Amino acid sequence: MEKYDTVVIGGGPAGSIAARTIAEKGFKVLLLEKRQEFGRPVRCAEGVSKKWLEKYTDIKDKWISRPIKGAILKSPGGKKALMQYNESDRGYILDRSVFDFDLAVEASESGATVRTKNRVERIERNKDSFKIYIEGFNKYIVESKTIIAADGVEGKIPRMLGINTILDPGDIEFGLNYQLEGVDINQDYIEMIGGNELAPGGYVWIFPKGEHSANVGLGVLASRSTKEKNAKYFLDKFVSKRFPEASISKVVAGAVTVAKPLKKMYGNSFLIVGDSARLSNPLTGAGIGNALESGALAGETISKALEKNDFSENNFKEYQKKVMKSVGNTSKKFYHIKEAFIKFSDKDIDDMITLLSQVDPEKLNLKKLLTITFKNNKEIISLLKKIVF
Amino acid sequence: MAVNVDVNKCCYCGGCVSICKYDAITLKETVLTIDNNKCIECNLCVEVCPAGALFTAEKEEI
Ligand SMILES: Cc1cc2nc3c(=O)[nH]c(=O)nc-3n(C[C@H](O)[C@H](O)[C@H](O)COP(=O)(O)OP(=O)(O)OC[C@H]3O[C@@H](n4cnc5c(N)ncnc54)[C@H](O)[C@@H]3O)c2cc1C
Ligand code: SF4
Ligand code: SF4
Repeated sequence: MEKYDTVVIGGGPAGSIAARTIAEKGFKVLLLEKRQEFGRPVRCAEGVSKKWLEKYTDIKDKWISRPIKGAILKSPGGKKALMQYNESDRGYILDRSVFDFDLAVEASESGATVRTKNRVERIERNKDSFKIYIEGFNKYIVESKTIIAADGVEGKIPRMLGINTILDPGDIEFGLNYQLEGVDINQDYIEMIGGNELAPGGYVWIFPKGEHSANVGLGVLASRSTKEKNAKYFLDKFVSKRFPEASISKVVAGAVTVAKPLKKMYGNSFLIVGDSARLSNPLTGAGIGNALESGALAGETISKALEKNDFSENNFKEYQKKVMKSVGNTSKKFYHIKEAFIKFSDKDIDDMITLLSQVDPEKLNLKKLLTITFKNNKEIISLLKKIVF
Repeated sequence: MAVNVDVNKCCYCGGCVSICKYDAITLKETVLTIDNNKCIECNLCVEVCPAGALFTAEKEEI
């Protein structure tokens, strides 16, 4: 039987960064991905801020579909506000199929064993190790001292390890995204449009992909989605109105967690990272940055534990503390902001964008946006004071 | 009755897997399976599937 120091389950950004971090320290790592190829099919609208990419990667040109200068915010009534990103919070629209693939290759080049079309089916805990049952072309078992669950939104690994990750329908968005060809949009700006008739409990995004191409999609809160009026119904309605001439070159469907981070994302000999730990931003649905950050922190924690040969639950508490400090506490606050935001009527959104349109675009950032939007909501204003943006 | 999946419609978003409280759904790469022994037919997944891929049908029909 193959034996590893760590088995990382799930080859998204969180898993690949974790595997790379541990392999770099010289430990024996196995990275498993159930899909046939890392990064495909893509389940993302591919927006990410530069700060996260820079922190954990040497940004490669081939990952970037478009650099982004700012955001256009629109209301259902057609009001418009502009947000001009400053140099430090610039964004990118990625090509995730290339990005995710390259991150897995980096893990491999650092010494990790990586395998696709290998799904973890079952985990058995023994005294000092795990037995991991894998289904690929063949069924086989490996033994590992530790596990990192990086298995994304549909992940069941935490459940196998005794951590409940089941989501309420109010804490999950169904996202649908079309890559459209033949669209005429400003390729330097992303566009976000709110409205209960457009995307109940979510928003519409238009992300430029270069040339005459764009990612156009939306998220609908599961609790507000019905069999008839689901994400596809709303996206088709929007696209036929706004881009009647465009053709669809790619369809991306996926679920986005808009939940609070897990109260416990560690246990005896294991850690949970990324979407599997419910770490994406509950207001925006963005999860790439938090996946990278938690993956790296988990990698460091496991490496240290391997050096000391101490995999006790107590020793792994530190990971939770670090994740919460860097991204988790912010996500938790954004959860409350999301809960307030989904109560907005279309008129509230119109009023909000009208107010925002009066601000100098160079000075408008997320913090300012939320401060203006929630100026009459004391609870949220006090939350905002504590958020590090 | 039992919950079924129309594999032609399912776009393997994984959403149903993460909301089923009875751990009845598994996504094997791009193939969704529902364990009839675990499913209590609460219908939650059928209501929320963004692709309309889940449906209930008489057991005989399967
Ligand atoms: C429509 C849509 C649009 C989005 N847009 C954005 C955006 O613009 N910006 C942004 O930042 N985020 C966005 N997100 C969220 C983003 O995609 C996720 O937050 C991010 O991918 C999380 O990374 P991860 O590594 O935690 O999980 P994932 O990337 O989901 O990776 C988990 C991997 O684990 C594998 N896996 C699961 N179970 C097993 C198993 N048992 N055995 C082996 N492998 C397994 C899965 O196949 C998967 O590849 C979007 C999501 C969706 C659905
Ligand atoms: S929610 Fe629907 S589309 Fe998504 S995985 Fe489940 S059956 Fe497939
Ligand atoms: S009907 Fe309910 S119990 Fe059955 S698979 Fe769907 S969500 Fe799970």
